[in-house]
Amino acid sequence: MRRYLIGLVVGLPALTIVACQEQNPTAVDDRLLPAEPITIEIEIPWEDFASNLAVYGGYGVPAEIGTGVLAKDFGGTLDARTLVRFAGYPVVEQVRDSTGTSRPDSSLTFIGGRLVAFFDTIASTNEGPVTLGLGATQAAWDLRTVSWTNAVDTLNDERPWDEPGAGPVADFGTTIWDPAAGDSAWFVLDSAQVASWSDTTDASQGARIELLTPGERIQVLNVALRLDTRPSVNPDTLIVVTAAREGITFVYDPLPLPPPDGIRIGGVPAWRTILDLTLPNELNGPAELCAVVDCPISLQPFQVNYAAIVLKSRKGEVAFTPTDTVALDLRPVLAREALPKSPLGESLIGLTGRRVGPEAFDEQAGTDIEIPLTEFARKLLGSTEDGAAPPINTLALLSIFEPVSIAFASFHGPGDENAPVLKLIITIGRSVELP
Amino acid sequence: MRNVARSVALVVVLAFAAVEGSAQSLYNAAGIGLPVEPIDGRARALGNLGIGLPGNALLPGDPAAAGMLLAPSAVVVGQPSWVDYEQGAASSGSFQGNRFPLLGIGYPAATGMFTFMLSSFLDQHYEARRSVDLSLRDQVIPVTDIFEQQGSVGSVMLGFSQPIGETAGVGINVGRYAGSVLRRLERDFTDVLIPGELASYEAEGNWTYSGASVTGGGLVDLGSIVRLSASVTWSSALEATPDEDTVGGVRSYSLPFQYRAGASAVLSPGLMVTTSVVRADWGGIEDDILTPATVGSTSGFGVGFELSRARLLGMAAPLRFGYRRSELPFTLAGDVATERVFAAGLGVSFSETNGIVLGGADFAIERGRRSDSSLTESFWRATVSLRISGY
Repeated sequence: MRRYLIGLVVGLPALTIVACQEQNPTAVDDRLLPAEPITIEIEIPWEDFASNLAVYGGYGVPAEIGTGVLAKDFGGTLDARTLVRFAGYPVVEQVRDSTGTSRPDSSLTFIGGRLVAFFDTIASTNEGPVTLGLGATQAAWDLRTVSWTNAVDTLNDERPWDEPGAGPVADFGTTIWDPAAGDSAWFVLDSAQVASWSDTTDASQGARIELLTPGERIQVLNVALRLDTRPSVNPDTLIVVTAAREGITFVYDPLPLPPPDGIRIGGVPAWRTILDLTLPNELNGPAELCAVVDCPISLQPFQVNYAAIVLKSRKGEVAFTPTDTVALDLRPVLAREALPKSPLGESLIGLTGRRVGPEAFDEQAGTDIEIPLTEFARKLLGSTEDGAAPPINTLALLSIFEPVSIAFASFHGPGDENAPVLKLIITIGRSVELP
Repeated sequence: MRNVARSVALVVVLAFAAVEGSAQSLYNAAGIGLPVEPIDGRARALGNLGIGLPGNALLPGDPAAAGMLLAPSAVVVGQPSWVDYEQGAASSGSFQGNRFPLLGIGYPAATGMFTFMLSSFLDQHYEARRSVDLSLRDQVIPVTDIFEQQGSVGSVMLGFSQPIGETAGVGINVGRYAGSVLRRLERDFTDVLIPGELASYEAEGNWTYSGASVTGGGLVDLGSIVRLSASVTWSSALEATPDEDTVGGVRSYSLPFQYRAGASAVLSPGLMVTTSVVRADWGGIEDDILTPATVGSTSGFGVGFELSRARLLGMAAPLRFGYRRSELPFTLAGDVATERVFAAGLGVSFSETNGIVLGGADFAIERGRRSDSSLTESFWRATVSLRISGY
């Protein structure tokens, strides 16, 4: 009994102490806090935070996008045609013979087919039916380097098209795509036309789709070649097989020139805008700040709650105006001297980027687009401390994927009242002191 | 011997658990904090202020009492508490926490008893919140300021007690204050919705405390009936030194002399009464404090009685009851804050040989109230102290 009592007297209090959860007493009493810091929002003009603006193009090629573009006199200038190259046709197909037994057939006869094009109805500008033309390319062309003027443009091998715009072609007919009827259109092919694309060793093999209706720009999501074949094991049956696609690209004219002013992001080949960022180490305003603390004040990293470059959108070249959401990215340039080929650091925005709707570059041009860079700004301010490594202060504005579309985003550059500004939300307080 | 070994193990475990004290009062926010008395469970249960109890004890405020120890001894004290507070009509709540106000060791050498003690002195933990409406982006945005203070001051003491005959003794403790405080203000923008996240504003400062103290005292037993004890503590200024990232210079806080006296008397076999008083004038610190806080001299008294012949399940288990009233040196309102406590408790001796308690525990439970004109705290506070002795 004595042992139990000892255990009780010692154990219970010890258990109570160990189990008692710690909770800080929390008061809602202004007197128990230091003086209230002030939080203000300030805008720093371009001249005071940025310099050395440059726009570079040429990142990526249309073939990397994996989609096509069709345009005819869009915006008064743009022509674009889609080129598709097919891999070999199927040589063996599982076919049910006249007895109903399924077995492989390696003696397929292709008697015709259809080239089916699928469209992005949102990114395409047309609201009514448009006429499309199909042709077979006649000259050897290179999927990665083909352009409006050149069929091949590799190192030491530049071969222009006989006719700019991937021509001439063997005419395979026309078709009409009406978006009200669906998101696809097809061209009917005869056996000779199908046969003309069967030789994969022929560098001139390929289909060219063009838009014949002027004033529109159409986004081609996919092109498929459906082949009608008659199997040798059951000649009375017609089956449809799909030919594999080697690649899809597009050629267009004219190529946009680097903007004399302004900021350009995205497009294909993709555009990047580079700028050097400088944060003020000292603030001598605004008046509401200086009314609370003694100005000028030294700006410390922990005082920056939010930092963002604010771009003002504008209408760019009509031919390349976005018709779908643009995702913007912001990354540090790791080796400025190596531009335009400098490697870039990790995104300051995140995986999804700063998404901007297409209306910001059309009817809502002039919209402020904020691109946050708070942590970068904090590090930049901190790097000015003694002994710190030279800071990376060069930033690249680019699209989240490169390239992703023929359209690019346009913003006002420095030089007028629409110039970008740096927006800061800062909190300034007196240092925490002992009572 | 096995019991002693178990007790030692328990003391060690609790000592390591006593790494950090924690908040037990919102009065921690006033002035430079709330004094925490390093008193064991027996004194707590008797409403005693840590001086003048018969027998022997390891108590920082009664250095002569250690000289009455007959063998090497150790004591460790744990103290959980549960607090309900009410501040004005709109603010109320509760919190809880532990602290470990005392760890003491005594070892006989030469003609007396050397002591080593770790004791609490000031508790400074608290948190405060403030709602602020900001005008940002042409709208009013609510944000929250959160202020947190984590700190405490303790004392490391070396002492020596010299018995004079069998009925008197003197003692001295030389101590060094140690501790630190972190003060951090955060403005939380979590609820602000703009592209990207707003980073919190965080400003903080760290200080390390240092200082010295000397406590001297004496006791005398009048027969085996009455014990009288008194002590006085001198403290140097408490200096707070900022770390290299903290703005500002060294701050210095004047600490007062602390005077204590206590008396106990055995009125009849099995009945002992005790009383004690303490006084300290904190007025000298007023000029050292920047923030508004009421500073005053503190005095306190405690009375209690012990039924020493009480038994529990065949074991000697003296029952104790007490009351104490003391004033707090700092308050948030314009008047003096007081603490009133009713206490009860018991002691248990696990093992005893030739009148020497080899292992024992003292348990106290207090129901108290701290209040000034703006803040009232009602609390339950438990104190358990484990003591061991032996060669």
